[in-house]
This record gives sequence, structure tokens and C-alpha cells, in this order.
Amino acid sequence: MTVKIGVTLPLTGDVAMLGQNSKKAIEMAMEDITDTKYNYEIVFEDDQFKPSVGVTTVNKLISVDKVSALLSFGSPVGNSVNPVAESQEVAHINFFASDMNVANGLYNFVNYTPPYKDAKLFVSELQRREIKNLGIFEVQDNPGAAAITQALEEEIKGTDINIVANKKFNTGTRDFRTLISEVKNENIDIYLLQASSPELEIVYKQMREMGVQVPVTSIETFEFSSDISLFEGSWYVNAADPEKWFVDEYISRYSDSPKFGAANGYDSIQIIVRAIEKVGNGKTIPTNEKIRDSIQNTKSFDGALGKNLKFDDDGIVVSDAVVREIQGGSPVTIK
Amino acid sequence: MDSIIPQLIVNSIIAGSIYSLVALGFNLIFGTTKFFNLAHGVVAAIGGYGAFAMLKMFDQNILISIIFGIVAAAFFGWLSEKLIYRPMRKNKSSGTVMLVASLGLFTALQAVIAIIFTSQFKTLSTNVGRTKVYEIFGGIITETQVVILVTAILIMIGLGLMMKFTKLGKAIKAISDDEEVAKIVGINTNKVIAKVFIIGSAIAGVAGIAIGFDTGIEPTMGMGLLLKGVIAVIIGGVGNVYGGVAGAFFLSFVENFGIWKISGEWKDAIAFTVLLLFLIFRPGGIFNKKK
Amino acid sequence: MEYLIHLAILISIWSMLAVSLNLIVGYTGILSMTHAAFFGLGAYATAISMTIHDINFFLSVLIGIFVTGVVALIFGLILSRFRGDIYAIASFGLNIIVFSIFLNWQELTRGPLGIPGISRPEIGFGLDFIFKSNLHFLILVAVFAFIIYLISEYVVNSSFGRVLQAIREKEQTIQVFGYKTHFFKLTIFVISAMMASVAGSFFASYITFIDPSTFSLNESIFILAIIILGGLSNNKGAFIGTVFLILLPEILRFVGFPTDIAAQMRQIVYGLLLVGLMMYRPQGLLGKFRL
Repeated sequence: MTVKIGVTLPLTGDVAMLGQNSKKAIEMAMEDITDTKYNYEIVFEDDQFKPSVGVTTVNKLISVDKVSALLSFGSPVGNSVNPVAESQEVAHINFFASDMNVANGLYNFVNYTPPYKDAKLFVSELQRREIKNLGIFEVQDNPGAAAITQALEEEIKGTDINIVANKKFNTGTRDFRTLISEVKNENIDIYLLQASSPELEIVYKQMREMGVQVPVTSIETFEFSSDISLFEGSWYVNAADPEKWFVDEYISRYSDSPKFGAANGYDSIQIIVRAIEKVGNGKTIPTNEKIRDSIQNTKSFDGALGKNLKFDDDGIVVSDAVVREIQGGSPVTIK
Repeated sequence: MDSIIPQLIVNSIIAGSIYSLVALGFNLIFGTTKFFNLAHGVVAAIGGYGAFAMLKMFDQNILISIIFGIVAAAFFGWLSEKLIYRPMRKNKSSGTVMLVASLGLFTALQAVIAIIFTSQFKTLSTNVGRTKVYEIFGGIITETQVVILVTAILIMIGLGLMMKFTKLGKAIKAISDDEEVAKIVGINTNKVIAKVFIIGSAIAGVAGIAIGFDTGIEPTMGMGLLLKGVIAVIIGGVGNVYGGVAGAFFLSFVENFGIWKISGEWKDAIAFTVLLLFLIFRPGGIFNKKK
Repeated sequence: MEYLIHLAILISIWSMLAVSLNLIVGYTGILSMTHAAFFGLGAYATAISMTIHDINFFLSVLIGIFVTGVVALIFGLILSRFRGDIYAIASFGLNIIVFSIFLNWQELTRGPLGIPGISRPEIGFGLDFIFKSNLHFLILVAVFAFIIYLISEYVVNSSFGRVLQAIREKEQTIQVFGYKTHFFKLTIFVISAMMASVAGSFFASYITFIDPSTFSLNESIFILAIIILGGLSNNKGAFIGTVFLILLPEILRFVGFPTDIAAQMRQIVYGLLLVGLMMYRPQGLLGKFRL
């Protein structure tokens, strides 16, 4: 008996690099699962990271492919798939959502560290290091970055940490020199770089070129930089820690490092398969309701993101943020 | 705050030189064919990717890669003229029809680049993070940028000399003024226009390569670049080759000072508002040459 | 099947956009590239009214129409002094400015996070009916799409419509006859924008979540491609163009392109379609008018 699982990812468009990367992680996850009662077929569709296309792909996956569960990536698609999953009663895990609204409802789950956890840890680390004056370079049109900044501003209230400057720019900006000039002479102890490749590396290089020697930090972004050695010695906050075995396996299989969301994708597909295996008899496909209940009741799942993963009552995975540092060109957890 | 101004000026000059390269080619083509060639943007991208392919995929040295990139850009520009625009001109297609066609070409070519090279951002420079920097009056400029600036100036001067002193330059001017008359006088307009596309596209290719070295390339780079080039051209006065250069610098100064005074994320909105203001209040461009 | 109903809903929404753009481009001959902005204004008006102010959907549609109408009036006045290609570029600029506002005015629009949780249309007055099922929604939106189609047909077949087509053919001629062409162009521009706003309102309520990415310049280009394909100045053509370009990617899904390049392949198809149409059939499948 074959069970189909639908996965909608941004395989083309601006975030294609991440979507393709997660696709590989999901494929790897399926190869790592052996000895199951059912045959599993993963159907991939491209949603271009656009909400309306996401709704189209998911409708197709449900109506035409008759999938038993869904995976999606990112809050824009997550938010628009949410009502479809709910009304058609198909379990849906979004594994890269910065907006926890995506988990609203019975059939919707999110496997991603909520931004407020990153923010809380970041603020406490700043306090621990007695850093008071924060400068931020923030990419403006990225939902993930926006969610984290919002959470950060919340957490900072009532502390003596001060956001001295917040320089915003849109994805596609390649010339940060004017923005950097504006903050060069401010009293800033550390810069928070909320951008991903390539803006991340470019803004860092241009900062150094212009003589800004102050330390840099980030929430979530260093680890997936295309040139991680740039950030040698810098500490940062990351959502859950991909296990070393996962990273090594991915690299040896694909000669490329896993990026944002890859480990989450790996775990999410396995959670679904595990859930189905638990309630299925191998001959008939379990009902959507049973599958959804089984996913909700996931306990002691050991995955790429750590041990004992489970979902809370809102359907959001329980996981923590960590503080890490780049040492010798590799991420090392220090807290 | 006054130490920021020299840097803003340096930033503006660098951005301006890249925009002016795009504007120069665009203006040459518009002057002779009288339509807005939106595929000009993707030609710049082809230049950058051509150089990238040689440099990173075939391990050639920098000079060969740059030359290849420029040739690739020029080739595609010429090809688009030969296969698409010339037959359309023969068919008496209006400027609007050709604009839409060039838009289609732009869309298709950009997707091809994305398929071949993936959507990932790539950089041409090899000595990442260790470029030499110089300080000029308090503003910082990297070695790569100095090279870009010098190249842009040389190209502008070269083009100027060509336009003024060579037969080709005079023929181009004649066609820009009046294509029918130029034909009557015996100028082979198709041949001249073909050369215009080659030169204009080559210059765009240089722009793409320059950006590739300064920051990097991605398949969608053409649109943004092109729009800025178009704004520069309109500010400077459509068809006015040097106006385009002036417009490019004007635009980059307004953008950078605008970022300073307003905020980084509004950069595009600022650029287009400037465009609209010019179109409304000074449609002839800064120099207000009547067409 | 839900999938087909979903596609039918998308076709209904996009046909409103196509039919309304046709009024400006096809019948009046003005190349406007800012339609996505009006689509977006309607969507955001509905989204904000419904989520923050708890306003009924149908009332939010009216709010959207009003807001869009005012913006279109301003845009129309700005654009009215331009002709042909410059009009197109200026309208691009307006689209980009509006998009920038959607993206950056975060206090109002939540920027890239978008606005989730928009509910489906509801009829109060004791009926208490919510258009929750897709089939019900389809019926509702199809009715509105049909109404817009009828309005459009009425306009183009009226004497007002004949003036528009005369403007397209030779504006100077009918100005001589005393027609204040500015007024006609402005009116149709505003009407067309208001129709696009209705499409936006339905889009917001159907998907229940909107973000700026749907309302970029690329969307304006897509709508233009629809009406060029279907045939300018032909409402049936606009509908056929919509059906074709919405279904094309779905059909390609089953063709078995490797999923990673499918979207790029679609871009190539659109691009080449535009080029081919402009070269060989600028009036489109059903149209009578050449751009």
C-alpha cells in the first residue's frame, strides 16, 4: 500500500536555494527510513514562495495526488495553506515559519523555533556580556527577519539595552556603504546582522572595508552563510542545533552544506512517516484524523534537531534556541 | 555628521559610473531605433555570467574572462537585433510593440540564465575580504571600485571620441536625427544599427561584469539595473548620450543622499519618484533638449 | 474537485484584472504597467478593514474601490501628460512606489509578514451566510466577474467607448472635434482601476492571507501578457487569455519537467510567447487592434 505525502517548496524564485536544499534533506530523510509498513511516495511541487501559488499546489496535491499529509516552507505559503489544510482536514507541517499563526487550528503544525525564543536568549546573552548599545542591519522584506526583529523589540523593553540604530534595506541591495557611513560614528558596541546570503557577507565586508571594527552577531544567519569563515570568533543565536551526524551525512551525500530549514524538513517528513506507521496497519491508509492525532502525539522523537522532540498544544514544536560561536570555521555551541 | 558626506559622494560616484554604463548603451540604441529596449538589462547580466563561466567554470584568467563576457553580451545584443528587432522594424512595428517584445525577451533570457547557473548569487572576485582600500578625502573606496570608475570614464571618453570623429559616429548621429533622411543620403542604416547594438550591448556587458566584481551577480540583476538606467536616461534627456551619464550621476547622488535623509528601504521608491518629478516638470531632461 | 474549483476561482479573479486592463490598453491604446498596484490596493483595503476593523467583506470592497479610485485619479492625472513609451515607464515607476509602500509601511501593512486571517465574505441581515466553501465562493466571485465583464462590454459599446477607440486610433483628430480626451482617458483609467480593486478584495478574502509579493511589477507584466495573448480590445479575448495563462503552469505540472526548473520553463514560455506574438500577431488570438 502506497501512502503519498505532498511537499510544497520554493523550488524557483528568490528563495530557490533554500527550497532546493530542503528538498534534498527530505529526500535524504526518506532514504534513511527503512523497514516500513507502507510504501511512501513524496510528491514535490514548486510554490515560488508565493501565497496564491501555495494554495494552488496544495489543492492539487490534495485533490489530484490524494496526499495524506503536507509539508510546506515559510510563513507566506504556510499562512495561505493553513485554511486549506483545516477545511480539507489534511495534516500540515510547516517547517520554516516565523509567524506562529501558521499553526492555528487542529490540522496545522509548525516545526520551527518561535522567534520569541531566539529573541529572549539573545537579549539575555547581551545582558550576560554587559553589552548595551546595539546596532542593527536588517533586511526589510523577509518575513523571518521581520518576525525576529519584532520579537527582539518586545524582549528589549524594560532592559537597559539600547537599539542605537536600525538600518533597513531590501533584499537585492548590494551597496550598503551609505547605510554604514551613517552609523560609523555612533556609539555601538555590537552589530546585529539580520540578513542572509548574499547581503550578509556583503554588508560585513563593506563594514570592515570602511573601517568599522566593532564585533558582529546575528540571530540565525551566520551558520548558513556561504563564507562562514568571515565570522570567525563571533557569537550568535541559532534556532535548535542541527546534530553533527545530520550535517556530516548531508555534506557527504550532496557535497554541499545543509541550509536554513533543511534539518527541520528532514525531521518533519520523518515525524509524518512515524505518525502514519504508528496508527496504520499496512493494508489500509489511516484516516486524516488519525494521522493528525498521531502527529500531535509525537513523543520522544530523536531527529536531526535533537532528541525528544514533540509538539505543544498549539501544534508548535517545542525546541529551544542556542548560543553558538564560530571557532576554527565551524559552529560550536557555547550555551 | 559632516564626515559622512565624503563617503556619500564616493558611493554616489561609484554607483553613478555603473548606472551610466547602462545608460550609455541604452541611449545609443534608443537614439537610433527609437524604442525602449528592455532586454538591455539582461544583456548586462549575460556579460557578468559570461565572465563568470570563463573564470569559475573553465578556470581562465581574469582578462580572458572579462573579454569573453563582453563578447557574449555584444553577441546577444546583436543577435536580438538581427533576429527580432530588425524584422519588426521592417514590419513597421511601433515602439510600443517592440517594447513589449523586448520585455518578453528579457523574461525568457533571465529564466535561461537561472536554469543554467541556478538562482544563487555568485561573485566574480577571487580575493574576497582582502581587497585593498584607499581613502579619498575621508571616503573609502576599494581597489575594484577604482578600476570600475576608471574603466567607466575611459569608455565614456572613448565613446565620445568615436561619436565625434569617426564616420560611424556621424552616421549614428544622422540616424538619430532622422532615419529616413539618413537612408536617402546613402547610409546603410541596418548595418549601423547592428554596430550600435554591438557597442551598446558590450558596454552593458561591462556594467554587468563590474557589478560582478564589486558585489556579485544573480539572474534577476538585469531588471533593477535596467530600470535605474532608464531613469538616468530620462533625467538626462532621452537620446542625449551624455545626458544619460549626467542623469546617472544625478540619480545615484539623489539615491544615496536620500537613503541618508530618509531610509534605506525606500531607495527604489525615491528613485522612481525622482523619475516622475522629472517627467512631470522637465520632460526634456536636465539639459532640456527638445527632440 | 477542489483543485478545479480553485483554478476556476483564480480564473475569475484574474479575468477581472484582464478585462479591466483591456479597457485602458486594448480599447484606449494606453500602455499602463501599474495594474498590480490597484489589485494590491483593493486587497490591502479589504484585508485591513476586515482584520483590524471587523468590517463586512462587501463593505470592504466598497472601501477598496473608493481608495483605489482616489489613487487612480492621482496617478491618472500624473500620467496624463505622457505619451507612449514614457507612459509605460512612468507607470512602472508608480507600481514600484506602491509596492514599496506595501512592503515598507509596516505599521499599516505588516510589511513582508503580510496580513493573515482574512475571513471569507459573510452576509448578515439575518441570513448569516458565510461563503466558506470554495464552491460558494466560486459562485460569488464568478457573479462579480461576470458583472464586471458586462460593465466593460457596456462601456466599450457605448458612445463613450467609441471615443476611447478613436483616441487609440488618432487622438489628435478627435481633439480637433472638441473632445476633451484627457477627461476620457482619466475616467476609463479610474474605472479600470476600481475593477482591479474588486479583484484584489476577492483575492484577499479567498486566500485569507496577503503579502506584498503578489503585487509586484511582475504581476502587472503578467496581466499585460494575458490581454496581449487573448487579443487586445476584445473582452472575450481577455477571458481566453486568462484561462490559457492560468492553466498553462498547471498543465506543465503534469508534463514532467523536473520540478526544479518548471517555473523557469514557464517564464521562458511566457517570454517567448510575448516575443512571438509581437512579431507575428500583435493583435493576439482574438483581437482586432495592433498595439
